[in-house]
Amino acid sequence: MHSSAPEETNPVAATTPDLPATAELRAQIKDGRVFDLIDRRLRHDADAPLVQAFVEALDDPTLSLLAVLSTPAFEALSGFRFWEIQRFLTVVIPKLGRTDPVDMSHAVERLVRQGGQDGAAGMPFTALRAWFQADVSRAADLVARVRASDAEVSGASLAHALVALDDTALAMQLMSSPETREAAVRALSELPHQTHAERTELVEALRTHVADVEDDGLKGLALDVIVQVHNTAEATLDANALALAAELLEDAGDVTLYRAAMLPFAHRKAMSSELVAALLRTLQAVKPEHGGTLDMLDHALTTLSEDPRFSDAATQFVTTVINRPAPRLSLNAFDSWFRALIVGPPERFHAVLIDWLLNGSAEALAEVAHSLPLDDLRGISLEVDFSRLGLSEPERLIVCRRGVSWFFVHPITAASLAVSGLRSAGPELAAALSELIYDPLLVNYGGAAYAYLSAIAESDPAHPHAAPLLARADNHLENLRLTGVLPELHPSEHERFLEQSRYADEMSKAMKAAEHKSVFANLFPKLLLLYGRTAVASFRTTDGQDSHQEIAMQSISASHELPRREIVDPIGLDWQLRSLKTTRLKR
Amino acid sequence: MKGIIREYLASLREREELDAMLPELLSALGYTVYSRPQIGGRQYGVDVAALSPPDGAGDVRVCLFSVKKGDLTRQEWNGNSTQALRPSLDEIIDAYIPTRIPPQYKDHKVTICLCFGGDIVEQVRQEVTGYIDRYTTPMLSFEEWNGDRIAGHLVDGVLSEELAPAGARAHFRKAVALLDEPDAAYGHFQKLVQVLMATRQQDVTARTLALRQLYVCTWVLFAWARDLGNLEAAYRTGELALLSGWELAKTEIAAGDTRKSSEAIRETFAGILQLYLTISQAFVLKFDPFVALPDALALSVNSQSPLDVNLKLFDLLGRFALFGIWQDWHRRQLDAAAEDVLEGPAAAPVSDSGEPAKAGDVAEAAEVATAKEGDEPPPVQSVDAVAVVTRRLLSLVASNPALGLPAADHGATDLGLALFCWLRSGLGAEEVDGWLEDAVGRLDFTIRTRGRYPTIGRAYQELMTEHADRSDDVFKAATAGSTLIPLLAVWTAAIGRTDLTAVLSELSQGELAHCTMQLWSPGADSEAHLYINDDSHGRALSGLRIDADGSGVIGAVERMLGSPRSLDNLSANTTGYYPIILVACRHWRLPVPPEFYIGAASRSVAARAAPPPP
Repeated sequence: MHSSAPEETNPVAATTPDLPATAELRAQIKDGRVFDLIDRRLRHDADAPLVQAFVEALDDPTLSLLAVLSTPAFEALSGFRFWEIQRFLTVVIPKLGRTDPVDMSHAVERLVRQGGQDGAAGMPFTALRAWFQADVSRAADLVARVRASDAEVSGASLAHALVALDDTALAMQLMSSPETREAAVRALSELPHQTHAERTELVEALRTHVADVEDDGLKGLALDVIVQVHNTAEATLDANALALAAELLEDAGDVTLYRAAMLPFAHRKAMSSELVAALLRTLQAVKPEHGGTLDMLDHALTTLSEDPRFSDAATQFVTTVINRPAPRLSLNAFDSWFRALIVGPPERFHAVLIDWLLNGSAEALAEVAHSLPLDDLRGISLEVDFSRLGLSEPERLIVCRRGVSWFFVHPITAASLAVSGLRSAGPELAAALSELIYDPLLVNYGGAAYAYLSAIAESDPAHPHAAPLLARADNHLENLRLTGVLPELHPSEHERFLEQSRYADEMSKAMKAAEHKSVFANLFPKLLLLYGRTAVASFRTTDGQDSHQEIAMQSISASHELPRREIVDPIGLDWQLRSLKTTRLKR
Repeated sequence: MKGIIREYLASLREREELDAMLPELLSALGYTVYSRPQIGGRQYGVDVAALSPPDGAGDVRVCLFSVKKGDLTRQEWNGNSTQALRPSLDEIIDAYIPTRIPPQYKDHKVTICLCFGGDIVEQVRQEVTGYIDRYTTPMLSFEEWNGDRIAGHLVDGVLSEELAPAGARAHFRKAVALLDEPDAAYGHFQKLVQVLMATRQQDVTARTLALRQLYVCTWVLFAWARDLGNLEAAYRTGELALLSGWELAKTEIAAGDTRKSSEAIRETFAGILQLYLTISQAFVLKFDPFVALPDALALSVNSQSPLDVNLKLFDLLGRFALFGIWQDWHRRQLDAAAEDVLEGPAAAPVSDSGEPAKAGDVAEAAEVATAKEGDEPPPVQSVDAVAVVTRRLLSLVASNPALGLPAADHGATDLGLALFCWLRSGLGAEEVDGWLEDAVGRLDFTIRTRGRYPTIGRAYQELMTEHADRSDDVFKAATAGSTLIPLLAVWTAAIGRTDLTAVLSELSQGELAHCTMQLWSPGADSEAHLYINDDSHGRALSGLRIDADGSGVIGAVERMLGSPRSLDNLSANTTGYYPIILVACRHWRLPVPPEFYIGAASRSVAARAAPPPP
């Protein structure tokens, strides 16, 4: 199998398209052809003159940006092409002169709406704010027309106008009206509240106008505002602010949960033990189907785990939600947090892992086993210092039994955990752990587990236990070889052929399934090279020259040691591992 | 063809092996064999004695064969070996001819035949010639029957173009050539058998000839397989030869008349049975050293597929069990009729009443030895071969945990044979208690976890497909019927482990409510098809309800079997060769008929239910 070669560069127009005259450009703006022009020029990083030409062309009473964005040509834009155009217009908008503020707001809203749910879709609002700031009379005009009910724009547009006006008192006034409340709260989150008195006034205003409102979006926004204005080195949430935050978090809806999940990493300076506790208490209501919120929560927990004040709270949160019966959250949702745990201080990682092995649910442990790093498919080594964990010997035995069974497919991980147990074990525990290492580990893995035990240094307290185990494994292996070749037991050629075909089909399906999951699959085209050990690809450079690049092929492979009993007695192995997983302490 | 036969003759390892084949060859060549090889040694140097066919003048000679294996070396001619040829020839001249030739042949000329599978080595040639020259008289002559001559007789006589159709000879040659690929070798041998079985409806002479051809071909195949170090094809063709041979000879064996033609076919069948037992023993002895090594035989399957391992191990289990059953049969034969046994192992086993022992008698005589608390295990005689084999068989199970549960329902045949072997051994219930517990536990576990539960597929590909798919639809289809569960229910109840029977009962009413619980028993049509499997036959005892203590299912089976039972009338049973029925079950993958064990199980359950004596 050859690996994919880099995509041959698709030669585009060898030269940058010329800028048309203003009249022609206006014609292209009117009928939407201008997007094609923008697209082609942007490929040559030649947008600066175009921006200027575009701004000049729009300075025409018969043209408006809103009209341009209402053409079928704009509606047809999608994917990479749309984002390039949006980026271009974001540069253009602050430079535009004579445009009605309401039209401009609607044009920006249109531009944002076409971006859909993508996080970058809201970028044009920053251009709108810059446009307002370039001439604050535009913002004042918009606010006045909205207050007089002469115009209707989105809360976001109005909020940006308010921020451009930099008038906190006006924003406070607008909070009293249901029509302008959301915009006002948005604006207040960005307007300065530098003194304690100003922050207290804001909290009180929010309590007055938002706390009792049945609007989850507004509540989430208010929560964000309260935490954001305290996101400074000097300020912390006082009792009033905390009480309001707690009030807003009660019966939190989806939006408030999303906002709450975002706060720990968006406003980390505002975090306190009380606020973190309140947030995490509320966030336990997050459901498995809330993908976006879970992503935010994962970032939040990762951020919290970096702060010694909050790392235990983050761990406790994850421990609770992945082990509860329903609605259980998957450890996979917290992959960033789990990675940070693994690469963090080993004693912390080991303490969490041992706690989960002792008290965790089967579902959670299955996910832990799946999420552990592989290190060439043999698993990472866990050198756990059991003497620091305060476990009794029966508890240690249970931890090792469960660990060996859950991490069985990672022989190094499984063996290293049991060997860790041996290091501080009394005679009875040592005997039980030795048996555990022999069966199922050594009888199944003649490679990785055996090599791990062989490498234990003489100075290691586990060494005296390892030597007899290795001798026992050697004896077992020797017995296996005694039979020599017994052709009578071999499957027939026909049976081998059928089995190989089945296996090939299974592997092919697995490979296709893996390709679907690959992040590269959608980024690069796949080229299959039928012959050769190097790939030569030709392309045309931006200056119109033909060139080529030769890339040597590399092989990528991975191997996995199959447990012997997976072949000779899969039922027995399955049974044995399940029994070990469900080992319980005698009460 | 002759080369194949000559190699076979040269590769025979024991003198007895050539001995065994020689009478059949002589009979086929028109000789009248009046003395066959004896157990315990030759008679004054003679291994086989026969009257030659009349020569051109109508004269008949007494031919006395003294047999050696392989080449005739100096050591074999006149060395220290007790089997050296020259002392044997001296014995013939000094003792046999004067005293042992039957009176009616006293006046006939005598030919001493020096018989060996190989050739005379050059260094000995001079001495042999000198000996022959010295003792040759008008009444006494010598003939050299070396490998080449015997091979010539076999090819031109027993396997001649006239007697064995060209197609059959081609299949035979291919079977030998493909011994390394046992499936293919067996396939060609099966075609050869089909050709020979065309004589089924013909007279006894034609059938005897076909039987002899079958015998020689099986022997040749076995010898080659043994040299190759792969007995698989030999074992399977040995079973096929036994079953086909029975089909050809059963009428005369059942008749038991003294007609010469009947005796000839009976003797030839005895040779086939002996050959089957020899192959079976060679096979078991090859694997015996490894049965106690954990996982060693399972790994020797040399496959990455657990299905392959399971199928091969259960197959091996069935072969060990059958060997044990034949050992038991043979022991009872020796015990009951020592004189008859001297006629060879094919003689019918005799019951205490003097009648041939039948499967029903055997089941009646067997008792399930159950262990009660405080009981000592029953003593096992070290000489009791069936107990020894059973212990080895159970060791095989203990060392290869995959034998806890068959991957295919037809593995119940091997399990049934093993349990019947154990029943015949007289070993205590504690010997199989753990195994049955493991089997039920694994069954319960795999059914509930949708793991590698036994499926009903018969062909390899079917089984492979069933085991690769864990969906509910496949589960229902692949477990639509079971002979394994009723078998386990009967045996767990029989040894008093009704806790296990209850687990099976619960499974059958829950997860396996859709499964038709059944056993199989021969029917009136079975006699015609059982041994050669040319059509389906017998009765499915279906719809069995697995009750919690097993008494219900045992009672139901007994009622369904009725009386008289069809198995009683099978020729292999009426003549006392009941293990042949079990060979047919193993070979054609039929369940072991419950007639073999249901009586013992029923009595065991009843005894346990009876109130204790006051």
